[in-house]
Amino acid sequence: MTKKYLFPTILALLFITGCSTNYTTRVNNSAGRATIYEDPNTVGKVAGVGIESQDVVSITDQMMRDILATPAIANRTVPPRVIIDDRYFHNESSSVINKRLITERLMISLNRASVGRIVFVDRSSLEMVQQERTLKRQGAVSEGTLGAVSKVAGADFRLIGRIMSQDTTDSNSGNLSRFHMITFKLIDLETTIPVWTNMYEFKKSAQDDIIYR
Amino acid sequence: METTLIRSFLTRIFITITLFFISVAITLPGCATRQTFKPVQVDPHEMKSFLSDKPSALKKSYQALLEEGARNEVLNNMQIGIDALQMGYRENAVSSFDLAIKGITTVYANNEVAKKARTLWYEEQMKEFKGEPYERAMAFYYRGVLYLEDGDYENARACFKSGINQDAFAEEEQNRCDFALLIFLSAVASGLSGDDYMADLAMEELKTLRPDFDQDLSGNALVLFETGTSPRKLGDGPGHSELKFRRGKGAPEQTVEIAVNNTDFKNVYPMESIFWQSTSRGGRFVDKILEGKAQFRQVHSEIGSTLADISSTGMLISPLFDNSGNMAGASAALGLLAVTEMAIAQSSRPHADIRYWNNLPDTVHVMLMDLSAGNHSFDIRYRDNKGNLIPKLDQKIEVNIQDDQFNIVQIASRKR
Repeated sequence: MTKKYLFPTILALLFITGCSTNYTTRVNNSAGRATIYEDPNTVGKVAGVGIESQDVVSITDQMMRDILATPAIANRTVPPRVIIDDRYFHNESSSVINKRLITERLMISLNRASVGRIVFVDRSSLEMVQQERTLKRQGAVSEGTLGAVSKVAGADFRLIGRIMSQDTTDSNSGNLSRFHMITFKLIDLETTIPVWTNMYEFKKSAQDDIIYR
Repeated sequence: METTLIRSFLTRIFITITLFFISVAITLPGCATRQTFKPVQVDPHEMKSFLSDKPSALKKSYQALLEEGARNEVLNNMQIGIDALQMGYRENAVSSFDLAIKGITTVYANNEVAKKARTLWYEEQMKEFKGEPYERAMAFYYRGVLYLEDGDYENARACFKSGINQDAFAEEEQNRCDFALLIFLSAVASGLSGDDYMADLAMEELKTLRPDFDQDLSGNALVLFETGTSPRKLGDGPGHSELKFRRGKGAPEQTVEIAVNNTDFKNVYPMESIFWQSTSRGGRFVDKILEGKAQFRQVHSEIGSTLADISSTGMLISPLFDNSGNMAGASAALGLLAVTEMAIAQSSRPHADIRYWNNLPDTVHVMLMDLSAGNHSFDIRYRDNKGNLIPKLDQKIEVNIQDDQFNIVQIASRKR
């Protein structure tokens, strides 16, 4: 009697377990990786086709050297006053970026390297400076140790520029490439004449695994 | 005599075992096993710390974000992003869309998981989710709108342009880069950043896609209406290897009308059908891989099935032959081969990846308005595809317009 039901029972059990047993995979449960410092001059472990740290470093280093090698700016008897900020530095590309990564790094690198040959005017501090000047003039606070000046500094040159890009995609190969052109100009704030111009170009391409195309 | 008895005994055992396996083989095709994924083991302290600053209503989603790991990270962030927007947690939405975009823009080259997902023995859904082009484009849409709200028009435009690029991978050439909503918004962003040249270029491009859209970029407010529910993905065809898209369920609203400050109702322009975008990309490269997997399964399944039939028939008729033992033995051997074929067939995993962004809308409608600063009342009503009003969806909303900024108003026909 027992034998009679043995085979159907095993068959039924197999059927049930065969249907309910799923293949399981544990994904991304590795021990992880401790934080490491990476050189911002090099391509990191995660890279795309946008503007990345190594690009920012290369761009600003190259522009800094070129500005310092321009006599009309760096070799004047009286150091010129320059505004370098993101106000007129436009991003027209398809890469999302904080433009200040470029303008701040350029300004600080130049300020350090020029050792007084170029003087920088920080327009973003204007409101803050004016508040303090008003307090001083009103006598609410004492004069500073540097003494008072009648006006805040005017500038001779100002940086303008554009970040532009051209994307191309190949739907057959899944290739995406992005060409970036970043232009820089220092404009004479009296005449509108650009006293210095330069640009930085690079093109990156990448291809996703076929399973993502 | 003794040898004959032993041989007969062994043959019976062999036949019994083979019969057993053949029976298993017959049951196998009905039991296609699926690959499932265990949750990542997150340290309870780590989970508690992670959830401590998250809104209560979103805690469950954030928990899933950690537990489902990198495989679903982009998908979970996309869904949390919209949930957070709908609940008013703007900062959470910003960070979720940023993370989703980070995943989308990651280049998957020489990726081990992607490599496995291409093989016969793993499902496509094993790969880390990046979404189909319409989903990737929508992640850029939401982030771009958040940038617009913040007044960062250049990065908003960068997002919209990146979204348009996602659509460039459409297999069908005529449907490449036709995401009118993103083209329109890139025109809006360019106009707001004072770049009339780029705004005009985008508007010209929009005219080719939406010739009946007659609004210009003047105005101080953009109202974005989202109707319907998310397009769905289904596995169809042999081994569920064909990815199909279906319209979201339970949302009959198709058109929107608005009356501002008790004036007449006006139609709102349906700028983009997300469902249409989901269906218009054409085939994927991975479809060919899945098709191959499905064919592999089918061929081996058919071979196994045929061998099983021959084997069982051989078993049944073996007593009719003089050398019944040999006949049964041969049938049994065929049976084992059948089982092997069936097992190989069942081990292949041709299922298409049907994970999808489940809280997207079906359609996005747009209207540019020029409104004075202060409060305005919006009466909104929706109609189905036959033009019938859907009174239960009627909305009355108070909108505050600021005069020192461009105003973005987002309205959804239903909570998704």
